[in-house]
Amino acid sequence: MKKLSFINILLLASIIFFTAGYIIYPLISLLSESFISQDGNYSAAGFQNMFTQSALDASFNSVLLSVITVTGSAFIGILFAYIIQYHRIPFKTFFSSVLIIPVATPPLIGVVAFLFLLSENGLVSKLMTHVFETDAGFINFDGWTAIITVHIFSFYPLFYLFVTSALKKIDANTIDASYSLGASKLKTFFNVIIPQLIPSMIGASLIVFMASIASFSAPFIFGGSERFLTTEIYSAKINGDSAGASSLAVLLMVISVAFLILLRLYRKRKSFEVRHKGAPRTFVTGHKKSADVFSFILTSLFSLMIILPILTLLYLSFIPEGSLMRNFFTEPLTADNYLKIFSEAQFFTPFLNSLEMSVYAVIITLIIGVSAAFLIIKKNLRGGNFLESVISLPYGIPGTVIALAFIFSFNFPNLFSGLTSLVGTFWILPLAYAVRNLPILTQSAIAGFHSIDPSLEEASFSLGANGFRTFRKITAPLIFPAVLNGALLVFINSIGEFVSTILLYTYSTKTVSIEIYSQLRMYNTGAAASYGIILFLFVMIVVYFSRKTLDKSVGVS
Amino acid sequence: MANLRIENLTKNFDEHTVLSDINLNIGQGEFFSIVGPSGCGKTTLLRIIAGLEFPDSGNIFINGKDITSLPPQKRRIGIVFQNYALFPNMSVFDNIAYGLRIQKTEKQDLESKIKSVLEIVSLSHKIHNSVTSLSGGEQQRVSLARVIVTEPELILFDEPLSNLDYTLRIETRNELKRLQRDVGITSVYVTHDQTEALALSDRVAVLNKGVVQQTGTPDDVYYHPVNNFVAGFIGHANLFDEKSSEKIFNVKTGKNKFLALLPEDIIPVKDDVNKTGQITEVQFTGFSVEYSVNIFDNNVKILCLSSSDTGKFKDGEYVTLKLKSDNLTILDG
Repeated sequence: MKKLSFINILLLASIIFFTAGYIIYPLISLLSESFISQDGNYSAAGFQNMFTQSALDASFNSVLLSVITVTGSAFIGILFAYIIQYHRIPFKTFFSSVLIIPVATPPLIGVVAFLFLLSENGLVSKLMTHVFETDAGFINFDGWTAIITVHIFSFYPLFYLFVTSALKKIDANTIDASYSLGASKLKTFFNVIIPQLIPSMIGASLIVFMASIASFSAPFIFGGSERFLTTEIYSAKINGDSAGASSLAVLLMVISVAFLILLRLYRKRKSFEVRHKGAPRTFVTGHKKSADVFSFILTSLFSLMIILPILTLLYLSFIPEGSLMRNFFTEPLTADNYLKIFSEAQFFTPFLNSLEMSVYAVIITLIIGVSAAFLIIKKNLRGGNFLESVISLPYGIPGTVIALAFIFSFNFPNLFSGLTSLVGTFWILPLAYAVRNLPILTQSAIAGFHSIDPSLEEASFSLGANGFRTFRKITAPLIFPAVLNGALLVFINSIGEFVSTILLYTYSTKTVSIEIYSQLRMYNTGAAASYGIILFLFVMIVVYFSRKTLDKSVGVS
Repeated sequence: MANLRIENLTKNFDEHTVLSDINLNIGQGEFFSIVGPSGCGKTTLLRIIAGLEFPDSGNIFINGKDITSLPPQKRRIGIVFQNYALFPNMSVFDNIAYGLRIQKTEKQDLESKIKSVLEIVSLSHKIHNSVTSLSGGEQQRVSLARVIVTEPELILFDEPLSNLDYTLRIETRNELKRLQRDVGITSVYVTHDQTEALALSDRVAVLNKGVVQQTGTPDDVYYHPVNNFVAGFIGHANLFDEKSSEKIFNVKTGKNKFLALLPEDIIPVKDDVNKTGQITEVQFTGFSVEYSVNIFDNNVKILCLSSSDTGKFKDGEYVTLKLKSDNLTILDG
């Protein structure tokens, strides 16, 4: 460990304050809440709560859902990663951008878009009614089918991205070598390509499992009477059963954190990487024309499936209010929904709230995350590994659980709630967003610091620069792209956040996602859709411009 | 320009001794190489001189001033790194200006200095390019310019040519030599490539297992190695123990001593009568021919001009070996 300056110690103190106050303390509160009975004594009742029939049903369903989601996402993700990497199809760049749209789409928007497209009152159903003049109802998009569909469409991009980056590292010469040694295409795929993808597939499986078991929006909207852990926690809390909610939350957290630990163990293990002189050749030749044509058709259809729900959302956002139950194909399109949002303060406030909260979340994670990464990597902080584990913990904790833990921790004045009750205030939301996203930003910053060749900083020192100048002129510009990328993800995740928001908001701190949900419950399809479209476009624009900035910032390979 | 003195320097990494009792005295304007196999401690020694690592004991002096505990930014020692370490977020101009700006050079002065140093390394036309767009050789020259322009007391080179391909390496080597002559800055050059060290240096220190084996001019260490390691590493010399040197060359070395012979100092002579030595391998490299000869259980390397009479042997032919000169190197081990 290197010597810490005064500023370093100040940074360390704020990191410790934040992690102790907003990660460790809430989790302890949650645990103790689940073991305290109504009369304030410790009891095993909470423990027993975890093994009631409904809790077991919910756990079983959540795990089953996650397993199915992982399998389906893996199939779709690997298929398209392979096609995009190895097949000769037109519009490849376009398709590869479309394929990752769901990553940036806030989960609630995805759910609502599918709802509007495929549900009983959705566009397809209405269209059929309109065309065939029969009663609606032969499409029944809800329950397991709906949840699984939405899950796979939301999470397959994680597989796609992981596997694509693994495929890019495979030297195409190894594939040609396999052919030249007499192996068939199928044999080559299973014996040469798949083994090189396994590390990335394990990583993606763990992440998708965690994302799926923590998922709230899809089970909440489509779940009906089916029990899932996240939705059960929510309804227990809303019905005033804090003990039940906390027991289930502990259960969910244990499952999820177990997977987080697996993920971290797996990351520690080095994957096999052959050192090449020069870049590996990645383009594979020799595909049959028919295979390429088939891939093209498949990719086009799938891309359409990704865009269609969003287009539905767009279309419905121009439908006049209150026309859902009518035959809205005959009604004139109108921009009223948008005009209302931008002209009336009560409809615009949710945007301002979301925006403000997201910016605060980004600032908090930037300060804590970059400082932590700096101290861990550059200063070889003693206990750095432990600190990194604590900071990564929220990655394995579902939003529902974090929200619940926050409620138990900050509903009375204490040191970390600024000596007041934070519950019901504005600040509890950005704090929850910051905690949820701290792992992402910290990992980006760590990757940024790792990617800097130490000899650059040594060169700067030897040219006479002090530590501060070196950080300002060399280190900071070089970690900028990685940190910007992380900050962007934090922003996107926060601006559409729904899972923890729904437990923490009050009327005056309503966010866009909450507004979408309440418009949906009031059957204001047009209003909900236009909120969704604005949020979607906003996220896409942010992604687009930051990509441009990232491309411009030079030469960090 | 400065003189560098290293006294009794020792460095351990956890129990393991990396450098042991290093003593070196490098004169003003001298081009000094530290050469040795990988893991011999040469890079650690360089980093200690630069101030990027600190020794466990011993001292470093520049012009008689003890700098052992000074941080790198106070030392005025430039480093040319193996991977060049150019700042990728800056242009050629800004990379070179980096050190000058720290020295608070006036703007006009700064520009003229950069222009003239770029002329020295013949890169004037690339002044505003991004460094990532340069070729390896060009990056190497920018990294040298970045150091020269700050007029350091001393330049350290950490295997600066090892990332270049063969032709470029030879070209850059010659240019480096010329530049160092012209600029006249004291230079310490670290490499595992003994040819490079011999070609560039005024003097060479041969390092093995953290111990300086020999210090001397290239001529010294090549023709007058002090031990078997230096003879083998610098000249690829053949070493013969007491028995073998008596049998093959009729040379009496004395008890437990070795005869060291450079590959080019042995002459193969055709001998189909005694059949004592046999050629087991022939490698034709164009200008020269390398033979492996098996004689009395010794594997002897011999180098001959391919145009000479001795350059025409074939694999499997029988030979005896003769000495080219009577000036023999006898080593203790």
